[in-house]
Amino acid sequence: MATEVLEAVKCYHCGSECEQQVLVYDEKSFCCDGCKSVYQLLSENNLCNYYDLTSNPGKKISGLGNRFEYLDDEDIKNELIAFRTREMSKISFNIPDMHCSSCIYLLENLSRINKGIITSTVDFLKKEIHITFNEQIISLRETAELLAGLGYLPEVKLNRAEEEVKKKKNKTLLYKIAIAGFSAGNIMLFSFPEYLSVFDKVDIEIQNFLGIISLILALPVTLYCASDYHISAFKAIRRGMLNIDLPISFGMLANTTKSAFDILTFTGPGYFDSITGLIFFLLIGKWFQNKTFESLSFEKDYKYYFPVAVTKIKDGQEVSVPLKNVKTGDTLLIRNQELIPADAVLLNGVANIDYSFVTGESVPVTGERGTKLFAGGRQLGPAIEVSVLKEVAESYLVQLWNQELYVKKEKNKIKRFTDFIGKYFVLLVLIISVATFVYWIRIDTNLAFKALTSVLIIACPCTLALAIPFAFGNGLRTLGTKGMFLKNAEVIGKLADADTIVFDKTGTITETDAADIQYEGMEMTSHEISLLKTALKNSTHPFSKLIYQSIQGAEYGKVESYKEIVSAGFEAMVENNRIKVGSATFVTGLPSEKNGLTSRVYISVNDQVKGYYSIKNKYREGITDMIRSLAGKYELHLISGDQESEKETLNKLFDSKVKLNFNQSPTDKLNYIKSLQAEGKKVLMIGDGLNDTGALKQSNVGISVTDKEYNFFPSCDTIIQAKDLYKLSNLLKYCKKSYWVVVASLIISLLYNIFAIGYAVTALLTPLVAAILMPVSSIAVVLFVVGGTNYFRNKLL
Amino acid sequence: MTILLFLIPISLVVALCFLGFLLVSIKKGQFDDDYTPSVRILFDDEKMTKTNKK
Repeated sequence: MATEVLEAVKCYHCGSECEQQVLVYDEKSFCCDGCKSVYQLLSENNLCNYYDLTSNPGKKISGLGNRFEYLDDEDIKNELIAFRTREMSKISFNIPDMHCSSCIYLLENLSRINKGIITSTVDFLKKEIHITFNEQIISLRETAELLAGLGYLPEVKLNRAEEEVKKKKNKTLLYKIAIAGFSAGNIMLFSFPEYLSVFDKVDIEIQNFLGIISLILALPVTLYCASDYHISAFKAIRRGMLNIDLPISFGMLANTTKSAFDILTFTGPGYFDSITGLIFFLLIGKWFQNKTFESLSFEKDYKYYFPVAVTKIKDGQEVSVPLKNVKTGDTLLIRNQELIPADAVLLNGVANIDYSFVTGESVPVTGERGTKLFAGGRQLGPAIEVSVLKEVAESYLVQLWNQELYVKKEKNKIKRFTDFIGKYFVLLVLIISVATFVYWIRIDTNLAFKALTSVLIIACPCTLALAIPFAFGNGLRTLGTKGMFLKNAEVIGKLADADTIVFDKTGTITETDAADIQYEGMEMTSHEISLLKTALKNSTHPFSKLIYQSIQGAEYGKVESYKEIVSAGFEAMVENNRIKVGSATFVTGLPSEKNGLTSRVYISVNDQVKGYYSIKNKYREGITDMIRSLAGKYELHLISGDQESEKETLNKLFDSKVKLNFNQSPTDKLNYIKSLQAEGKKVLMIGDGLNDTGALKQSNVGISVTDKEYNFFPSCDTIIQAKDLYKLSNLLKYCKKSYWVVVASLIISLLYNIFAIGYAVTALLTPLVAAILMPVSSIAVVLFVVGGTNYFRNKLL
Repeated sequence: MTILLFLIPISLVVALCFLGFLLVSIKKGQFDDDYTPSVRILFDDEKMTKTNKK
């Protein structure tokens, strides 16, 4: 095995550029030991097919925080393992990093790496893996560590019971669709003689016989398959409200009763063909909707963000305990990057807590012994010991969620429109049908029933109920394949509504970690580098963080004094050495040189200027074109937490119409959006989700840009993958067009309703025509919206 | 035409059998995941050929 350093090459495993080192093994190059060891493991087990199926399929292994000690805890094991005998246990994990067919190949062949794993099956769309393993050979913890070691960090969720309920519901829907489809198809077949009776009289005996069979087939459909609608309508009535399910349910029940009556008294063939057909289509629409939501789980469950277990200190020993067993008064150990699970008081160590997740404020809060710490904060730096004040469920963060602060109250136009329809349309139809009935009953009882049912059948707002799930469901799926993930279908409407776009700079239009950093100047001793690193750790400026990450060396414990001067730099005393970091004027006293895209950070130790770090922001690819194409249609703003150093470059990059704002704190950003909204603008905020949480929440619709898929925050409505950001202009256009397709379909169905009802009240509508019109109108709407949205997808994306 | 009174129930029984099969297959989870199997079937079964290389 040879290890040597080469020019930038791509890692055979993960495909990222090998920046610091290149490890060569088996004539392939790797960027780090993690990638190499995965390759070694796979090649030893003859799993190299992994690399043939997709090139560079792996994920870079980050050694951070893969702690699975808690999986040795019996309580947790019992909760997680679905089925357990001495030699066979079944477990399911979520694996967010699963992304290609190579992943499926590897994950389904785990049994070849470890003999303890009996089978492993992947559900790709749900990003789940189901593993059957032998606990005698491999423990649950080792299984999780095996997955993590391969680069597939498993996510453990303790809400197995809830997931099973969801699964069961999904299956029930499939049963219902199967039964409804079966009955609808057969009843339509049996109705053929009736359809053709215009030309040829049907044998009365056969017609009655077919009628009774239809009745038998239809009853399970109207009673069982449509039960969700009846339940929803019943609940609405009990609360004294009207909803869109009410006329559907009412119409179905009225028609069932009437049809059953007709058939049993041998007076007519009934309308079971249209009722069962309607239910079948409604259920398919529902399934379509569920399917789209499944692949993007935007669960706003606090448990999702919290760790499963925490480290408790008991009699001086570290023990892993499940989160729900944490009691008031327990002492917990919170390591670097770990979340504080419950409100607590600091006992030991220096707290440096990042609350951006809760408040949107990214500047970490420091605290000494005795400081109160709130749930949801993330410790940055050395481990601390805390004493729990409240149990998990009572804590601040959980309260936040329960208040539904994250739900944006404001509804968009379409939602308002359907709510309006739901209320008034229903009422109107009921009034019209009753009026028609009363009018005709004076003339002819039979005609009166016919008119009443015709109105109810034909006026079913099913076209309204179908248009939105189909159009937005289709849109959701389309956008998902293009790298944009929406929280729910309603967001499409919100995206279409927006007229102002606010961009964050760092991390959104520039790449997060990919800044070029170069040091120029005198060589520093390792002592000086350590001093610098210690000092930099205190600064929260993005540049400081970047430099901190780029230099390697030990750190000293404590900073004796620290003073930051806004827009200039900071001065710190470490081990009795004065460290100054900042702009040229601040450090050297000389005016700074303007140098295009790069920013310089000067360093001095004990008043001796050492040199500077030049930092060059990398703008994301295609960003300029995207901004240009958006500029005509939207009002654009840029807000940045950085200094104005790049104003000129930004001006050059973007249109002069873009309003640039610098030196904005997270609170400023939030207020900026508020002021735009006060002007009546619908604001679309695009940020990287860390220090923009507050602004994202405040905006009408918030998009968070992530480099990593499925890395999201409760306050955003949409996630867009960073590499797809350049498509934003077209994606927004697509949302707008989908929105218009829905509006058009709503208008069509409204016109249809007006004409059909107008015709139905005259009692001229024969059951034959009603039966044909009804499903035809539903199918027409579905075809129209799906065809329309697909047309725009092909044209725009 | 009276033969229809006999034929239709028979056809319905046959159709009901198929419905029954469909419901059973739903219950057994055949429709839980409609993507992964399409990928899985494309993997070559190379277990036999490569193990001797070891």
